[in-house]
Amino acid sequence: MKKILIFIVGFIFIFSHIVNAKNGERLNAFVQANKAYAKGDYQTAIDQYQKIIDSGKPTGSLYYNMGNCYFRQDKIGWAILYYERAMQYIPNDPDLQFNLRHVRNQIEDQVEKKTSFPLKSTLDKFSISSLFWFITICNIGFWGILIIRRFHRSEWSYYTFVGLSILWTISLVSYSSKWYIIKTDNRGVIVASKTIVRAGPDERETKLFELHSGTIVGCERQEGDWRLVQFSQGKRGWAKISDIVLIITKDKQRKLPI
Amino acid sequence: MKRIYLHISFILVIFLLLPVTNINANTGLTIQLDRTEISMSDSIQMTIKVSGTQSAVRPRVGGLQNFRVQSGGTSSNFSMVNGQVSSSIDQTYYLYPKRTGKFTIGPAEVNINGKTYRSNHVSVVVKNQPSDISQQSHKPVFITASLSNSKAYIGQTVFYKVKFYYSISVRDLGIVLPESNGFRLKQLEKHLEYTSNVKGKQYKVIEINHVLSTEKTGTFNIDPTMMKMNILERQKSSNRFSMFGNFFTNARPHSVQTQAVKLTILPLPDANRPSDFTGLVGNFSIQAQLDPKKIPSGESATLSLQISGQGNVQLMPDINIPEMKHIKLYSDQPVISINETPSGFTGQKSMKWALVPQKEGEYNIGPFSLSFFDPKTEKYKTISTSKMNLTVTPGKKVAVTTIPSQINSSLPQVKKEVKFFQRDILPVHDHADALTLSIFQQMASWHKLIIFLFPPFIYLVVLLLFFRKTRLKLEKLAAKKAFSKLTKQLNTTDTEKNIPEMLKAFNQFFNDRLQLEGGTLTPDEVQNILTLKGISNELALETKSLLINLEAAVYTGQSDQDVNKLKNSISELGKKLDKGIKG
Repeated sequence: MKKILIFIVGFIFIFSHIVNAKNGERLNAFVQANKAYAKGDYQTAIDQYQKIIDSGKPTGSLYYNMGNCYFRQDKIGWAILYYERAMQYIPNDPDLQFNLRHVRNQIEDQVEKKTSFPLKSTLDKFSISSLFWFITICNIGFWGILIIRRFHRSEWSYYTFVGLSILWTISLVSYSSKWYIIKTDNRGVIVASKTIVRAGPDERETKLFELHSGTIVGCERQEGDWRLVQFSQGKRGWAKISDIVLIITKDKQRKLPI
Repeated sequence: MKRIYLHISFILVIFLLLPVTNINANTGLTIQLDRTEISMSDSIQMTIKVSGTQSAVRPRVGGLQNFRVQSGGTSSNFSMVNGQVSSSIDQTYYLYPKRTGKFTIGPAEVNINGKTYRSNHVSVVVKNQPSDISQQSHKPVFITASLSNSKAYIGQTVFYKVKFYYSISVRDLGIVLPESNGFRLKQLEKHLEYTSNVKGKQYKVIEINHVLSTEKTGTFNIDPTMMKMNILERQKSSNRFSMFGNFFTNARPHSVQTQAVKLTILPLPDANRPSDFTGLVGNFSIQAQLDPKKIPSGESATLSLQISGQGNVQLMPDINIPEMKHIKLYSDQPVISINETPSGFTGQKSMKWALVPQKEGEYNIGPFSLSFFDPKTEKYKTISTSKMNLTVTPGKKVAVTTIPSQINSSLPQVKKEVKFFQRDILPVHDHADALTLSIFQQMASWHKLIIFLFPPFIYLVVLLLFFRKTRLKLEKLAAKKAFSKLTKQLNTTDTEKNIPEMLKAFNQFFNDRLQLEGGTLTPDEVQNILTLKGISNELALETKSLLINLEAAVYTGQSDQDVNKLKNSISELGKKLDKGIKG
């Protein structure tokens, strides 16, 4: 029994030590990155921020900082990519919204209006975590009022029940829709200064149109080094994979807080 | 039909009335040129507009000795808006230059009804034909690109001019501009179309002007511009006698491109830069006006400032007026107008203030200055308005009453739109929270599932715990109400088919009162259960015999007892049983 106790205490001690050391490394890299950014050494800042992100604990602010670094390097495509990634975590951050608007203004291609399902624009304003807390509160409220009504049936409890039922349904639909949007998000950003979209997955195919850095496209299937992209309803074709980076890669989809 | 006649007569009446209306009210003469800079092989379209007349006039135009003039026809315009009639005659001429240089055309003079009217005058620059045009004169289609200045200062307006020459039929024209490499090209709204003579060959020309803007200094290599088109060719028929042989045309895709051009953007010099310089590059003027110059105290005078000029007019600054003692200032929204001209952007910015002096006396207004960089002289210039005097005489004495100071402070202030000087991104998030993971991020999926399922689980537990208790409560309630239910049923029983109903109600009473599952008990079972529930043997026996009597009456259809009497005995027995049954 004593041995087991010693083992448990030792395990907790070592584990907490490892966690602290890892957090120290993250903090150190973060400070280094911020210093490099302030000095104008944006590539070092990017490397350090990337190191923290690769440690498996990305935050919206880290993606935002990465976006800033790429913008300072005149890489609008990469800046948009990282700002869009930050939007998954901190969509209501005023700094992020300001910078993203500024960078979007510098994209050469004119954005064409797309039709999306009605809830999408509203849901874009909320992160999945805020929707989760919303559904948690509604869930507690809904089942709580049901329990109350087992013992106390009155007019106020009836109207509270009706109100909470509506909220509970809204929260459930919102959370499910947001989850679905993230899971099926196939948007990619053009990171090359220019990419030519062709009629087929080959250099010899007809040039259809060209897209410029920072433009967001819908990505579909891929064949070899080519990916089928859709810019707007009537503009789709094949572009080189190396020119496009997905906002949410499959690897990131696993790491996203959903 | 009647309505059509009415319409026709209305139009006739309008035309009959026309001579009465004063159409000569705004008689005037203007000269307009489609371009102000041409080469020796080009032609200019000159339009002389005589407004306020419908009669043919022949204006005399000065300064045409350097041009060969060809008439291009006359067109007359007539319009009536809100009863206001206006008319004009446009006379078009094509001018072919005889020599290079800068020439002034005009003014034109015309005599209408004994009165001589004079027009404005316009300047035109005639240059030699660029060598790249002459070199390509053997081609049916070619394109040239040129810059208005090969060297410019940052902020200076530079035009990138693309001229497309064609002497054959073309269609589906598409221009592919060079890729941005630190600069932006914006096409001006208007493009020009005219004819040009290149080495004796007549070409149609489409001239497209672009404004080149950049925020960087250095030398830029502007890549070639490409023009894509379909050239229309007559189809050659194999049958030489075919009447349709040369009728149909083929469209052959073709493209031409310009040569690359070089542009050097110089930084603005640091030396002698005025402190109030805001980045304005070009040639500007500033004017100020005060109206009226003498006012009684408490009344207002209007101060107008107008900046006008040519250059990067969008940067024309807002002039700030320093606070003046005893004068309240109310500013108006500035009005800015920008025009595209072949020689650059021109614009005007008008600002107005209402000056309300609070005290009599002499006030000095201004001077107001404006600084800009003049690329022609390559120097900064600061221009100022002259100083103005505002004389404030004593106002009318009003025998009233002190105005509370709040009233002045609550006067509506003219709001000013907040504008960006420049745009840039906000800094990085360098606070420690930037690394903090949210609780949501720290939770695993199964944590979230538990959080979600916990409330319904609690509800389920509560439901299970209280289900039995609730059921027992309900059964007790039903037992308590069993006798009153029986009495109610007996009272509402129909007299014709009363005995089966009575038996049914009596059985129901037993089920409810004894908290049984349901179904019909035999008289013997009833006796046993009643004995077990603490009912005396006599009462149990009495109940049994009543049940036997009821069943016999139901199954045989005969009864030796009166229905009402039976009803009463059931009621009385029920009352005794209700009291006697324990639990």
